[in-house]
Amino acid sequence: MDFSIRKTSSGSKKKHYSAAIIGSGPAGLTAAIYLGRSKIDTVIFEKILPGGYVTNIQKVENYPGFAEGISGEKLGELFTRHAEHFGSEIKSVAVTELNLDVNPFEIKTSDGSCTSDCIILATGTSNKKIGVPREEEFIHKGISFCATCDAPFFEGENVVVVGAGNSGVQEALYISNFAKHITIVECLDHPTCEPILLDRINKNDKIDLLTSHIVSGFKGDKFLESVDIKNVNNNEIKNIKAKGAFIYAGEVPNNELVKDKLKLNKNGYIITDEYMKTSKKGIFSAGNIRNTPFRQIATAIGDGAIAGHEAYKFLEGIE
Amino acid sequence: MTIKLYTNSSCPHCTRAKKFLKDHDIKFKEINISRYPEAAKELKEKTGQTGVPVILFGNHKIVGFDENKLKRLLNIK
Repeated sequence: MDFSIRKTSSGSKKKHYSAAIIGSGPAGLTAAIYLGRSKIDTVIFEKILPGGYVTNIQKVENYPGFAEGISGEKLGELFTRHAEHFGSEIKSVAVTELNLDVNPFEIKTSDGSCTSDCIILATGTSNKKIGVPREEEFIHKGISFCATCDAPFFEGENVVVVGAGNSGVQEALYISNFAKHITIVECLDHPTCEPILLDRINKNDKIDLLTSHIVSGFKGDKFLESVDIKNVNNNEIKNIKAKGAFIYAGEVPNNELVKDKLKLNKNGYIITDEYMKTSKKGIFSAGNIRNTPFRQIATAIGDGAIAGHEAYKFLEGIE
Repeated sequence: MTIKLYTNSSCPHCTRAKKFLKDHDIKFKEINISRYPEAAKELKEKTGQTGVPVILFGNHKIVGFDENKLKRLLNIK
C-alpha cells in the first residue's frame, strides 16, 4: 500500500479531491476528521455555516463531555476547528448538482466545479413548515424557525411554539427569557421531549403546554397578531393572541441533490447500510439525512466516524 | 457610508455576517438586539421584519445573511 499518495491539500483552487463531504454538521466534520487523519485529500462543502444546524441550538446538554451544556454555536466551532486541524478544506459554497454516473464523480457548486473519487453526503435536515394558511406570509414577520436569532423581537409579548419535542421545548425555555407568555402547541396527546425538559417547563410560570392541538392558521395585518389553535379531538378552534410563533414541528431531509440518483425511503431519507454505504458505490451518507432511527448530535458523530473510515477503505481498495 | 449590522449574541447567521464584513475589511457598527431591546423594536419598524441579522446602509436593507447580495451591493469581487 502506498501511504504517500494522498497528501492533504492546502490549495484552494484544486479541481480534484480524493474525498468530498457535502455538509459540515457533526456527521460531515467527524468524517473529515477521520479522513484527515488517514491523510486523505478532503474537501467539505457548506452552503450556510460551518458546524451545520447545531449552530442554531441555544444550548446542547446531551453531548458527552459537557454536563453543564455548551452553546450550539461554540460546539459547531469546536467541531469545525477539529476538522480543519487535520487538514480538511472547508469551502463556503453551495453544491448545486452532482453527476454520479461518471468516474470520478462531478460536483458543481455556486463557485465552479470539481471532481472527487468518493462523496459523503451529510446534508442534514431542515425545519418543516406546517403548511397552514398565511404561514409563508408571516415568516420573518412574526414566524421564525430560529429562536437563538429572533427571540429578542418578542420581549414582553405572547408567543406560540409549535412542537413539544426536544427542540421546541428547549427553545421555548430560551424564549421565556424575553417573552411574557409562551404556549407550546403539540399535536400528540403527550410531549415527546426528554423528561428533564418537561420538568423545566412545568416549573416555568411563563410556559403552558397544550397537547392534542394543532395550529390551523395565522392572523394579522403587516405582522402576526394571533394564531388559530384547533383541538384535534373535537375540532374546536380558539384564537390565541401572539406576536411570535416559532416552529419546531419536525424535519424534512435536504435530499435535493440526490433524490433521483440514490435509493431513498418513503420519507425521502437516504437509505444506507450499517457501513453508511448508499445504493451507489463510492457514495456514503451520514447523519440526519440518512435512514437513522434517532437524529441526535451523538448519533451523527457515530455515523460520520463510520462513513469516514469506510470512505478511506474504499479509496484504498480495502475490503 | 455607515454600515449598521443588527445582531443577536447567539445567532449563527449574525456571526457569519460579522465574519464576512471583517474578512473584507469593511467597517461596520454592530447593534446587538439582545442587549438593546429598543433596537429590536426600531428594527421591526424600519425593515418590517422580525429577524436578524439585518444590514443597513444607504437605502439598502438586507435581512438575513445573503453573501451574493452583499458582494453585489458592496461591490466586492
